[in-house]
Formats: sequence, C-alpha cells, structure tokens
Amino acid sequence: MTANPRAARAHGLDRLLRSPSMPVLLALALAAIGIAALLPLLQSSWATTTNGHIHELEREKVDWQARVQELEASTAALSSLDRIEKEATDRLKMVYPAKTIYITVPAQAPEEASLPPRLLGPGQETTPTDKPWWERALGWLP
Amino acid sequence: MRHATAQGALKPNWRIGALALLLALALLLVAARLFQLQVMEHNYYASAARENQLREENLTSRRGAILDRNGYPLAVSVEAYDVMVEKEVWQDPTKAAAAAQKLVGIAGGDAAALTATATGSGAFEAIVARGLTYEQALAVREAGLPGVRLVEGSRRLHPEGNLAAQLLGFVGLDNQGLTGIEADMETTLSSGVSKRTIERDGLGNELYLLDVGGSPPQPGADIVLTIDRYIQRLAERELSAAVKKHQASGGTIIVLDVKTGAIRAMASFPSFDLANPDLSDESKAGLFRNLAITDQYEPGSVFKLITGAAGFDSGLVGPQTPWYDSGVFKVESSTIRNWDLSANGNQTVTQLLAKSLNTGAAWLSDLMGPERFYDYVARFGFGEPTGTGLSGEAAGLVRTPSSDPDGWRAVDLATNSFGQGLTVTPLQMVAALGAIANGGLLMRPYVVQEVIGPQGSEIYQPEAIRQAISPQAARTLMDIMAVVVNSLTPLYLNVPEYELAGKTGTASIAKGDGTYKDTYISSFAGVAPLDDPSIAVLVKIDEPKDVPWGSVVAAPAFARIAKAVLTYYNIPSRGSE
Repeated sequence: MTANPRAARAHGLDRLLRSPSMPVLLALALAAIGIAALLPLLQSSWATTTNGHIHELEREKVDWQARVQELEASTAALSSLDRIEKEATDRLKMVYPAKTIYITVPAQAPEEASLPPRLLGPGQETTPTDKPWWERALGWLP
Repeated sequence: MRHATAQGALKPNWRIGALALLLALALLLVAARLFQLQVMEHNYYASAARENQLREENLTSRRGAILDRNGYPLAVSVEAYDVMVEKEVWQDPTKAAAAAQKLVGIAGGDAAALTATATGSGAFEAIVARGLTYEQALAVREAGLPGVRLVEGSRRLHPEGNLAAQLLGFVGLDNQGLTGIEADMETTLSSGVSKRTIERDGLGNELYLLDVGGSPPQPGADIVLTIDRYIQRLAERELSAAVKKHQASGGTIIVLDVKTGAIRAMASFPSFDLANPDLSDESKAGLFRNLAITDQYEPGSVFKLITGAAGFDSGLVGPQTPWYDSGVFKVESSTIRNWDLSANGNQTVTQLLAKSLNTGAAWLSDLMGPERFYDYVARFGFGEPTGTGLSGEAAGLVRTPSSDPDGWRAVDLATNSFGQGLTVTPLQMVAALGAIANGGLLMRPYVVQEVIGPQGSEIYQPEAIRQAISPQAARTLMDIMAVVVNSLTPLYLNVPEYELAGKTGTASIAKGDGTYKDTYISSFAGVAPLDDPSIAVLVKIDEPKDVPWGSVVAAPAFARIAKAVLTYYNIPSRGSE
C-alpha cells in the first residue's frame, strides 16, 4: 500500500511532460523569448523613426524660418527710403514741398512708432493693467 | 570479406587527412586575420569606419540685425545655401554634365566651369555655388541631383543700400564681421558656431539611427543704433553733392544730438559698395575706414570756438572786450597774420570770432597762457579718443609744454589758437561743438542705443563726461555763433525758418615736414536751432578745387541739413502760428 515517494514524483513529472499542455507552454515560452528579443529591435526602429520625424520637423522649421527671413528682408526692402522716394516721385508724382507751414493744434501728439514686435525685448511688453477694470473684466469672458 | 571492410574503415585515407589539415590551416589563417583586424587593429578600423559614417557640420545661428534708431533694418541676415558636390559621384562625365546643366539652370553660372570645380577638387567635396536663396535651394533640393547637397548658411543684406557703409562695415565669407560695427560687435551679433555630427549611409545620405547631433547656438542679438536713416541719407546726399560740386577729394558730415551725444548721422566720402567690397585691391582698403573717427586733421578757424570758450569761461574776456588788431601778431621770430592779411584796428572779442581773425585768437591765447589754454583744450576732449566704442578711433595730436617739453614752442600756442599745428578727429570737433550747444556739458558721443538679445534688452544711456565750460560762457559763444551765421552771405547760408549758429573753418593741410600743401580743408560747424539747440553738425570737405572757404563750400550743406532735420523733428519754425 505504501508507495515509493521518488517513484511517485517521477511519475508525476512524466505525466506532466506527457500532458498535452506542455508543448504549448514551451511554444509560448519560446515565442515570449522571441518577442522579448525583438523588443530592442522594435524600440530601436521606433527611435530611428522618431528621430527621422524630428529631423524632418527640424528641416521644416528651418524652411519656415528661411521663409520668414526672406519675408522680413522683402519688407525691409519695400520700406527703404530709396524705394519710398521712387514710388512717391515716379508713381504718385509727388514733389518736395517748397515751404513747410506749421500750425499749432490743441491735440495730443501721436504715439511714436515703436520697434517691430520681433525686436522688442521681453521686458517691454505692455501689461494688461494699463486697461480699465471693465475692459479687463470683459477679457475674462470666453 | 567483413574483416577487410572493417580494416578499410578504420584506416583513414591520407588524402582526406591532408584536406582536413589544409582546411584547418585555412581556418586558422582566417581566425588569425580576424584577430588582427578585430582585436589588434580595432582602434584604427573603428575610427576609419566612424570617419566614413559620421560627418561633422557647423551649425550657425541667425546673425543679429543692425537697425536704425527707429527700428528700420540697415543690415539683416537671411538664410543662404552653398551647393556642395561629392567628387566621386560626378566621375561619370555624362551624368555629371546633366547634373551640372540642371544646377546651372537654378543657380546660374557656367556648366563646364561648375563641373571642373566639382571634379577637379582635391577634397572629398567641393563648393560649386554660394549664397543661393531659399527658393533656389528649394529647387535644388527638389531636383534630387546625385552627389549634390546643400549647406545652410546666411547672407547679409542691406535694405538701405550703401547707407552708412563705413560705420556698419561688412562680414566675410565665414559670416564674421571684418570692419565697422559688424567687427566691433561681432560677439554680440553672432553667438558663434556649434558642431553637429550626423550619420550617413554609403551613398552619403543622412541616417537618423543615432542622435549624435548638437543643438544650434542661440541667435545673435539685434543692435539698435542711434543713427537715423533719414538723417544719415540726408547727410550722405549733401556730402556727395558738395564733393561733386567742388571737385573735392572727400569729406565727412556728422550730425550729433547735443543733449545726449547720440550720433544721428556719420557720413564719409568716398565710400564703398557694401554688397561687393573689393578686398583684392589693397589701395582701396582705406575706403573701409570710418574717416569720421580715424581721420585726423587740422581744424582751422572752427577751433577758435574753443579759444573763445576758454577766454569767456576763465573770465579773462567778455564779448565786448576790446583789443587792437594791427594785422600782425609776433611770437618770438614768427609773425601771425589774418587769413586775408587784413588789419582791422579796434575790435571786440565778438568781432574776433565773427571775422575769424587769427591775430585775435593768438592774442587771446597769449592772454590766457599755455597752461590755461591747453587745460580747456583737454576739457573739450581733444587729445584723447571720445570713447564711442568704435575701433580705430584716433586721439588727435595736441602738443603741450608738459607733454612735449622739447618740441613745443611758444608759436605753437598761437597757431593752435586758430586750429593749426594740432590735429583732431571730426567726431571730437562735433562733440566739442555739442558741448557748447549743451550749456557747456560735454556728452560722450555714442552710436549704439540698444542691444536686443534673446534674453532681453540692454539700453545704453547717455553719459556726461564733464562740464567743459559754464552755461553762461556757452550761451555767450552761441550768441556769437549766431552773429557769424547772420554775417554770412545769404547765398550760402539762408534759412529764414530757423535761427542757426555756427562757425566757418578753412584750414591748410600739413605735408608732414612742417610745411603746408596748397590745398585746404573747408568746414562748417553749426548748431540748430539757436534758442534750444537740438543738433550739432560738422561739415568737412577735403581739398575743394574751386574755392577753399568753408562759408562757400561747407555752409550750404549745413543749412540744408539743419532745415531738413528740424522740419523732420517737427520743431516749429519762426513765425509759425
């Protein structure tokens, strides 16, 4: 009646190996190992793709910057004194005044032209506290 | 039978043994070679491989702009592209010719020359075209030409043309400032170059496997000058016209804000083309100098203002102090005479300055003595650079009994009193004039108003150097300068809208051996308006061929500039409602 414990353990192992689920388990384990081995490859691939996208976006940014600079240069060329004078005299047929007449008017002088926003330092931005309270309150509305 | 077979299987064939031995030897050789390549010479081949795969590129940031005081750009940078061609890829003449033809269609130039540049280079790559615009670069990129790549850089543009060329200066091919503000403020305008390493495949295409790159440096700061483009253009036009009219060899005009010392215009002639400065001809190198600060000259009668200022401020004379002009003033063995050899009899100090009498100036300096006279000369800033921060600024030459005890003679005091025998720069002269117009307070001339960088802006404040003379003495001089202007022929200086003040100067040009040339420097130093001076203007015309007089050659330019600037400043004219 008393069974040999070693024989029982060997029998159990034999049954386990012979059970239909073991090959499946092994296959799954192998697949898991395979996938795990692929992970670094996938990670590297994603990193490369992302890096490529970043470079592409950087190139796009450089392109836009170049366009902005070209436009700024065009604006500067259009506002040059020589061009303004040429347009005024050639196209608009304007002439220099023979005499300048000054008339004092009781009105506030216009604000001086300020530098373009791009050229203003961060400390020079106007703060909303300059506005009246009701205008600031309206600013909270969606 | 069985025995024989078993014996045959046990005894190996000697041929098989030899083959195995050979294979083993070959494997051993391969293993040894691999050991040599991969272990012993690992470092060499690893670095060679990296050299092939990796390439270092310079990353440059946008160079800061130079703006006038109202923010209008005088020099800006735009993206520009250089075209590089890989020599090996263009070895096939047919393919190279086709690619060159397409490239020429976009960038211009000659296809044969371009191919020769690309294939004749001793380096791996050659630059075949420079400074392409963004649109051109886009076209090159879209063409997908073999072995062609674009390198980003930048190009300097000057929207106002050659305005203030000597002051602004220019940059070299490496985008580094070579002269002018571009060179003086190089570290502000440019934040330098950083390196970026990229990985590429066997065909030279960029790969993104590694992120071994660096980040581009911060953009350079923008510089706002005190120069006003309108006034600068006006000054340049007047200077050019005066030089042309009087067939002069050159000249300088400076417009200074008397209350702050801010330089509103600094024009010199001859100038150069900012877009294409000729660096190949050494004889033209002088054109790049900012003559307003580097050029030293004997100021002539304009300097009598300093002599008069010293006399009034020291209390030795007043505007109505009398003196007798016999037409000559003797100093040791030398005789001083008036420019027109006249003898005017009883005169006042006001008449001395109004008639610009050399004998009177010599008398006044003699009355003061050398110590007091040269003290006032130094108080007005002569003999030392003004400290604008612009490089190459000359100090001028003022010999005094203490600075040159062996060389200085008593006659030097007399000649110095009417602006001969000493040298000044145009900027020193206009700064001293500005001090007289500013109640005797000498301001340091400055040209940079603000620096606007990525982290914020830095504003440069006006700086008072010293009270050169009292406000009362300055006012007296201003009134006498108004007398000078009113006594000039209206043909040369007639601005009824505003009351102006000034002094003419006609100076001989020293040869350097103690004698003088037959040519002159004509100048006019003026202030406007008289009541509340806003600007000081120095007009200096070198070697006019027709007439030498400052009243004829330089004063008309001052009159036009003063009128235009005061109108531009919205300063009401006389008789305005």
